[in-house]
Amino acid sequence: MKKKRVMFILALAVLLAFLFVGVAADLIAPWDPNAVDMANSLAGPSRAHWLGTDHLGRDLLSRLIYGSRSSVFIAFFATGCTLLVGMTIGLVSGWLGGWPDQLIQSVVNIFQGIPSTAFVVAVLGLLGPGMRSLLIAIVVSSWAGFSRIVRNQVLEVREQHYIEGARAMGAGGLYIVRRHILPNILLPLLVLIATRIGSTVLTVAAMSYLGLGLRAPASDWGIMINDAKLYYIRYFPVLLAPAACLTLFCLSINLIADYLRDRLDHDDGAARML
Amino acid sequence: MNQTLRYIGKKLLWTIPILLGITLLAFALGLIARGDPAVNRASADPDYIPTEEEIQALREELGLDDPVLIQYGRWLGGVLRGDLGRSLIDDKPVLDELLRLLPNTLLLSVLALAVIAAAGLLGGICLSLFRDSFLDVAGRVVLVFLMSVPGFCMAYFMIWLFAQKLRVLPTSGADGPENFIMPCLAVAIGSACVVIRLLRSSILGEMGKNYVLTAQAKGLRRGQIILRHVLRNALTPSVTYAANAFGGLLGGSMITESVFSIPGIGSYALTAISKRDYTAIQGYVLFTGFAFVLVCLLADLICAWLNPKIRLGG
Repeated sequence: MKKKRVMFILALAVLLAFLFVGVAADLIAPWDPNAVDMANSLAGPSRAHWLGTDHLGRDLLSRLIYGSRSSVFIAFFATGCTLLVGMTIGLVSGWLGGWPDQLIQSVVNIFQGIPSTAFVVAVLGLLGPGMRSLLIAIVVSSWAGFSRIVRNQVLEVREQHYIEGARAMGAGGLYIVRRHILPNILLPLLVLIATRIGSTVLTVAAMSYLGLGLRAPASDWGIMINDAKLYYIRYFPVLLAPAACLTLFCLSINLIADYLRDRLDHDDGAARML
Repeated sequence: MNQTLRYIGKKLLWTIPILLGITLLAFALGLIARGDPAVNRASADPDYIPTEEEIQALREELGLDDPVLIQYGRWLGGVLRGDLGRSLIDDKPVLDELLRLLPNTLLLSVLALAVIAAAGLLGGICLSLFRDSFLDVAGRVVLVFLMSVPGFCMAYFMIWLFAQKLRVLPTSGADGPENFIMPCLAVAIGSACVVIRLLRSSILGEMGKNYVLTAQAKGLRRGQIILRHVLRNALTPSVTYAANAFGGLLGGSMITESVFSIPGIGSYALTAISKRDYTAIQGYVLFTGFAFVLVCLLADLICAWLNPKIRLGG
C-alpha cells in the first residue's frame, strides 16, 4: 500500500506539473511555438532548442508546452462540463424516480447506444472543426454514461436511513440532495472523473490528429503527431515527444485512478467502472 | 428454462426502443448539420455556381421543405427497407458503400477481439494464479504502462520499429493478412491490458467466497479452482468490457484505419465528414449504433449464460 501511495503522489505531481506548464506556458516556453525557421528544420537538440525543431523549424519544446496548455485544459474543461450535465441529469433522474426516471433512462440508453468515438466524430463532422465544437461533441457523447452512474449511486444512497431521518425532520428535497446525497456520491465519482479526464485528453488528441479538433495556429499534442507523421523517419523526437507526453499524462491519470479505486474499494458501479 | 426464455425475450424487447432511439438520434444529427445540403450538392462542382432556382429544385427533390416529422418518417421507412439514402456527393447508396467496406473493418475487429480475448484470459488467469509473485507485480506495472499508450502512438511506434527499422511488415494497405498484424495490435493492446486487469481483480474478488473455501476443503488445487469454478463467475465484467471494445471497433477505428490506410467504415466516415456529406454521416451513425447495440445485447446474453444469477434474478 505504501508503494502505491508513493506512486499516487508521483502521479499527482506529474499531473500538477502538466497543469502548471499549461498555465505558465507564456513564461516557461523558450520560443514562440509558431516561429518558423526553415533553415533550422528537423534539427537535433542544441542549446537553443533543447529538444530540437520540427519540419518548419519550430521549437519542439515550446510546442509541447503550448500543446499541454490546449490538451490538458480542454480535457479538464470538457470533463467539467460533462460532469455538470451528467450529474444534474443523473441526480434529477435518481431523485425523482418513477416515470421521469424511466424516461431519462431510456434517453440515456439511446445515447449510450452509439460508440463514443463514432459519436464525437459525427458531431464534429456536422458542426465543423474547432474548440467549441470539440467541447460540444465531448459533452454530447459522454454525459450519458456519467449520468447513469450518478443515478445508480443516488438510488442506493436515497434508501439509507439518514435520508429518511432528514426527511422526518422536515428537510426539503433540494436540501437533502445538496447536503446529504451530493457529498455521499462525490467520492466514488472521483475515480470516474479521473479516468474521464484521461480519456478526454486522448479524444482531443485523436480528433486534432484527424484534423477535426483544434485548428492552426492553436496546437496540441494530436496536431504535433499529425505534423510528425511525414518527418519522424528523419528525426524521431518529433513523434516521440508528443506521444511521450500523452502517454505520461494517461499513465499518471491511470495511477491516480487505481489508487483512488483501491482506497474506495466499494463494490459499486463507480469504483468498478474503468 | 422458462425464466431463461423470459430473460432473453425481455432483453430483445428492450433493444427495439433503443434501436428506434438511435434512428431518431442519427436523424437529428443530420438535421442540426450546419449548411444547406442542397447548396452543398449543387456546388459540388467548384467551377459552377448554381442559381437560386436550381437550389430550390434540388431542395424539393430532396424533400427538405417538408415538416421534420414527415422527413423522419420517410427516412425511417427507407431505413426499414434497407435504404440509408444516397450520398450527397457522389450519389452512391450509403448502405452499399458501408457493406462494401465492412469486410476490412470486420476482419480488423474480429482479429482484435481474438487478441483481446486470448491475452485477457491467459494474462488474467496467470496473474491471479501467481498473485503477488514477481510475475504478478512486474506484469501489472507493464500493463498499466501499456494501457496508457494511446493507440495511434502505438501504431506509429510499431510502424517505426517493424516497418522502418526491421522491415518485416508492410506499412499500409489491406491486401494481405500481414497488413492487419500491426493495426490489429494497435487497437487491441490497450483493451487487452484492461481486460487482463479486470479479470485478475474479479478472479481475486471471487476467491474470498465460500464456494472457493468448499473447493479448497475438498482438496482442489488453486489452478483447478480458478479454471473450474471461479472463472465462470468472474468472467462477466471482462466479457462486457471486451464486447464494448469490439462493438466500438465494428464502427471503424478511424485513426487506425487512417494511419495504416485501410479502406474501412472509419475511413468512409472521415471522407464523409470532410465533404459534409450528411446522409453518409447519418448512415454511419446508424450503422455503428446498431452494430454496437447488437454486440452489447449478445454480450448480455453470454453473461446470462455464464452466470445464471443474472437471468434468474429477474
